[in-house]
Amino acid sequence: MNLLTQVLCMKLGNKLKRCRFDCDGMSQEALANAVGVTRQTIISIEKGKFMPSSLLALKIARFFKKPVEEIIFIVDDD
Amino acid sequence: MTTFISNVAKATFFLAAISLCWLVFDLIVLAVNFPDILLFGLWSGVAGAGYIFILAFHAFAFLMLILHLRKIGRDGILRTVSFITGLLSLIAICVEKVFYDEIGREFGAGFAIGNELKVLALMLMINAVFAAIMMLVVFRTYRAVPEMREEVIRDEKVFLLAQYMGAVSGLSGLYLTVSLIGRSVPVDRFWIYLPFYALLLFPYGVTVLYWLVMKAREKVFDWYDEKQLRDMMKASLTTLILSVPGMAALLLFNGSIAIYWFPYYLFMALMLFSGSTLFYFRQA
Repeated sequence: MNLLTQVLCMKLGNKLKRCRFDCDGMSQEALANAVGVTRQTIISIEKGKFMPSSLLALKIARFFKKPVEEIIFIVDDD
Repeated sequence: MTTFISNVAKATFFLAAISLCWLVFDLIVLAVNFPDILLFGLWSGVAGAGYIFILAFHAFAFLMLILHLRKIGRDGILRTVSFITGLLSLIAICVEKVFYDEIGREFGAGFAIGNELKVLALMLMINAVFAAIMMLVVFRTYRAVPEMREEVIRDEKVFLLAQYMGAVSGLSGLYLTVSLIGRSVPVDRFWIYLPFYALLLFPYGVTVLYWLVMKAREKVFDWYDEKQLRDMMKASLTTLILSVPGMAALLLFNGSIAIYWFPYYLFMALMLFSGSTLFYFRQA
């Protein structure tokens, strides 16, 4: 598999749901308010249907006090 | 106290917006079909009911001005202008009452009423100016009280409501336009339907105005979150693409299209944009 194919097969994964549960079962709405987006945006990110900007990813990571790559990471689409 | 001012400001803004829409509607009906109002026709009920809103608006507006005087030191000139315009507007309402009675009597007796109608229109315009000034006062109040700025939340409910209203208004307006084209209504009678169009756009207009007053306190860049922006970009593209066959469909009509292309395009674009924004926003 060449580099281009590898890059094209990459997808964004996340552990947002896990992080919320670890944070006393925080609601999607509370997280949305904390990072300044709508609840619908959080839902879309959790389902992997929306790719957050680097700023939003960093905001989420800062909120959970974890490195970004622990929450949002690349998964190979094999 | 801040919550109270905020609630009064919101109520004033809503009532000012409703009053303004009603005044525009009233002026249009007076211009195109004044016998309807004078002879208690179809629109006279709507025109009469509007006074409930405009009186409620005046009550809230004066309360807002008193709170503005107590809470905010600056904007003295704006406040003075608002008070004077408000008093003039109250007098104008009394004059309108007298003129409606007088014009109705003269019209019934077959006298010319052109000048009286002009005075009536002037009085309605004074009401409209006061409503517009009060909307400015609300804007300025929100900017002047920092605690009120903090109340802003990224409320997707208003965003969703605006899209639902847009889709419904767009669909209704499109239906009305297509039915007018289908029935080959002559262009000179198109103006009679303007109040219908105004009524169809009214709920959407009020929701968008509310959205704007909420967002006026933020930077333009912060008006939407990144997913909303992406959804609206996709919806814009969808609108652009679908409006081409949509406008081409207009060519299928045999009769003259004349001015009808404008409401057709306006309501079609509104329906497509709001509908597709909703679709993309809900896709999660």
